[in-house]
Amino acid sequence: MLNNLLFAEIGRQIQWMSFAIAIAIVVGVSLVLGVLILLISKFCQVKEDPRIKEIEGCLAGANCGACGYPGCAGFAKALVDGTAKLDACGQTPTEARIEISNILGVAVEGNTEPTVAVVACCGGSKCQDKYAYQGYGDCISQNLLAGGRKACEVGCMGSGSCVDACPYNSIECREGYAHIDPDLCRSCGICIQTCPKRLIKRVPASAKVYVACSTQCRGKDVMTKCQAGCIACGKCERNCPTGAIVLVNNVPIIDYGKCINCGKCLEGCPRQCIKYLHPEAVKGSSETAEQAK
Amino acid sequence: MAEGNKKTMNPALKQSIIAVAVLVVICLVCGLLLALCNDLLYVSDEVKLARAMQKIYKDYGNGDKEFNEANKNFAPVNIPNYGTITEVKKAEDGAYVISAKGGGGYKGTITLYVVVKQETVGGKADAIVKAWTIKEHDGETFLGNITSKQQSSWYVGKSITGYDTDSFALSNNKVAGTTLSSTAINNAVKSACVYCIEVLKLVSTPESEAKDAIIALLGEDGNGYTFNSVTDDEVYAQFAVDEQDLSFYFEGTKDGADSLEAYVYGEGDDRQIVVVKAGLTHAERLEADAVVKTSENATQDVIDKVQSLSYFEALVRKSHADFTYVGMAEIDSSFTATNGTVNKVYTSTDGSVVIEATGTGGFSGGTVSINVVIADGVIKGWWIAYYDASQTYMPTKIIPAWNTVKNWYVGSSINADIVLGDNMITDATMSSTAINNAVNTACKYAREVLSDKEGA
Amino acid sequence: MKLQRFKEIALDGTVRQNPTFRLVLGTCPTLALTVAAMSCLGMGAAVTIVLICSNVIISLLRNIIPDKVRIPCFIVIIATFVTLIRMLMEAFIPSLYDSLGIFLPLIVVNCIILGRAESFASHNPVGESALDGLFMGLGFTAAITLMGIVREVLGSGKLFGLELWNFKIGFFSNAAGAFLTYGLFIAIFNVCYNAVERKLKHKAAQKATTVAEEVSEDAPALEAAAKEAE
Repeated sequence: MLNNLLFAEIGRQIQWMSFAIAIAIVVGVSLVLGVLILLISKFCQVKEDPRIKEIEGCLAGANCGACGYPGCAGFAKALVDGTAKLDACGQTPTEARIEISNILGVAVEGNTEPTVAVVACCGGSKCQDKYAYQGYGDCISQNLLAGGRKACEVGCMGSGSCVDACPYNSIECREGYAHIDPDLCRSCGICIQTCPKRLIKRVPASAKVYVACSTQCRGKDVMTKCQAGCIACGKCERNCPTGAIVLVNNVPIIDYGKCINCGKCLEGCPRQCIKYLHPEAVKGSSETAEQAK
Repeated sequence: MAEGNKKTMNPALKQSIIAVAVLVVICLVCGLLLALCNDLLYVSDEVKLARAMQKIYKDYGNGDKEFNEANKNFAPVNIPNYGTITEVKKAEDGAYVISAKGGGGYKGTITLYVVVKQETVGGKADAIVKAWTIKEHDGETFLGNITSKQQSSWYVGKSITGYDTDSFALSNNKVAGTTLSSTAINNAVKSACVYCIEVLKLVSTPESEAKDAIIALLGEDGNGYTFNSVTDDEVYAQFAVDEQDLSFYFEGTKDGADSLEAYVYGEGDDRQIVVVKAGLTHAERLEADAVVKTSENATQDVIDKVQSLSYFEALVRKSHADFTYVGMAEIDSSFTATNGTVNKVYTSTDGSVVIEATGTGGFSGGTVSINVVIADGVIKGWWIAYYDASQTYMPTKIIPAWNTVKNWYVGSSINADIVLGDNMITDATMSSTAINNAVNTACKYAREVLSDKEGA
Repeated sequence: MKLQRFKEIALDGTVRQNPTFRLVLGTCPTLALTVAAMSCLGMGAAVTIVLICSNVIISLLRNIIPDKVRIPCFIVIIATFVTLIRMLMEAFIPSLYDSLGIFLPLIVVNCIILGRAESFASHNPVGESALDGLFMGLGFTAAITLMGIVREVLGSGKLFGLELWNFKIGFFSNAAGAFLTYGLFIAIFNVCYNAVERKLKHKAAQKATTVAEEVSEDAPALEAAAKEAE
């Protein structure tokens, strides 16, 4: 026989007296505590420049720390204090920079064009090894051992120090060297500081090509060490219609101010060490070129 | 601040007011909701009982409605030494469900439902504990160690008449690591047993039968008296008449009336009862009017024995055989002691005294009072009279060690203060100090006040 | 809401930011209740319900509650829901109420709930907050139930209350065993998580390589086409 006392009799008549007392206490306590919070916050108020919060709102907000300050909040404070330069941050978009410069009342300095990082090396497995490295597989530690195992002094070791450092997971090592995905890269600059060979550089995000080699050697010197290294033949310099690419110390340097993105330097390069920034975009256009034929 | 600002509020102030307002409104809404639901979802005592009975005693059914309705406003009954009875309900099959609250637990008290049923066991009427379960507790953190296994083995199926025997003893009904909670449960069960015996009269023990006989004997004169039995084998032995031993000794108390002493010999139809007035001197006791009532079959030998010896005298004679109570002496008001006071002085024909003294310095500033038997400048014996409620270590440390403790001070001279020294129980130093102070106060009184008297 | 976002929230709650093994929040009930697997399910269910309800309400009120009194308001809302759950449990599921004991009111200060309220519900829309609460709760439940099963089987030879065998290692039933089990679970979980993440990255990298290789193979053809076009 199921006991009908179990569920049917849950609950009782509303005791209005205790109901009222409960409400009164709740409201009273919350009122007292609310006022207390406010009084104390007034009393303990830290006088903060309101511009700091405004600037912080304009910044990219990634808190990557590449600028050298503790997070975007720290950077904003340094900007207001005047101890930081705005181009220490590579990520903040142009409109935001203009806004910040308006708030600060100073003209914004430095390059305002968005950039991405690229690795100026394409050797990797195509570059010979001086020795077989067995040990802690970090580029930085490997570099301590006679400048790394690569025959080329400025060759990418492909052991991934930059990969681990990138807060956006935009770098990976394929074919023995590092590739940066320009769509994921936020140009924070941490990889640039990390690479022991100083191989990573910034290029404008609108660039079509970049030079993927940094060796100052030429000709046979290069060819014995690496199958993909620049031999400083100068063909790119001759092919360029605007003179944007120039050999300096046997390293091709592109002046992106002059570059018209025609891609002739890449097409003429016998070593294929000038690379497309966005190879998949080029694939699309090569198909349309074939169709046009 | 210009006058124009009076119309527009300072934005910071406005923000603050909004902040407080939002907080208060949220608290109000939540409070309303909770207060409403509290009553809507209230679990009443009846429901709790029904749920507990579902689990442990299905025969409860829907309960004896008449009885339960009649006992809706039950006044708690205090069972001395054990606990309190908070509720009594009856099941459909006649078993009683008793809510008993026992103390001495880890944080406080535990309240149980104890189901007791009258049954015939081996031809005799008896009352058995059928089941028990925990109703509520004051945060007994280790209660989880007491599971349904203990619930079905402890106390279940045992006769409540054995509540002060081994079967109900704490040593047999406890879980290691949960001794205090087990103690509280033990006390609760025992108080339920006592209630069933004494009040519900489900079954009788020789003691309860003797008590009933006394009350029956006294009739109207006994109205309002509470009788408590005191047992001390050595004292009882002194009351033996021919080959008949004293069965029970009861102290009867009533507010605003004289106390009584009831002596019971034998049992059943052979029961002899003698009731005398308490607190009389030896001489007064031998008078005829000291006897309040005797049962018809009381022999003259028995009556003479009771008149010639009071329980108090017999108690003192355990330590000092020549004590014959003459009367209470007046306390000298000029007497002072640093750590205690003297409350009573019982004098004897041979010059020995029993001094009731209170000593300070007990646990959390409380006091302990003792009775000391002093004869020929030497302490012959002593016992504990009473102590403050704050003396929690008395029942847990001192009294369990009474066999050792009672030998303290015996044989010491009263001429000098007795040092605490070895007269101490570790973990109960302050209680021991209070006892020591009481003893020394008594000795000082005997030294200064009484010896002067003796000299004179 | 987009499927992508749904998947993101779901994975975050159950795996990527699993409150027990990754965020290490709410350790109090984890260590205390995982002695028996049954109470883990009950506690997990209660936490999930409170998470969903409080996340929804806080998300609804996120633009109204001023910053200064943020925390008292959150706590009041969370406490209200916990109290409601307690009352409902006491009335309708008394056995579960008894087994949870003091840990039911402790849900109010369970880090997971206040943590998600602060970091998610207070700046995300209602639907997403509700889902986040659901999946965080599920992640928590799964985690502690797993731990509970291990501790119960090893520590008392039972599974969900049913006796399996007589072999017990008492160590796992007390506090030291709780910490050890918890630590081992965190380690194993994170090792597996990192390995899987690396594999997924590798797969994504391989996919991108094939694209790039196809492109570079086309480059000479492109050059020829460009020459012809000239």
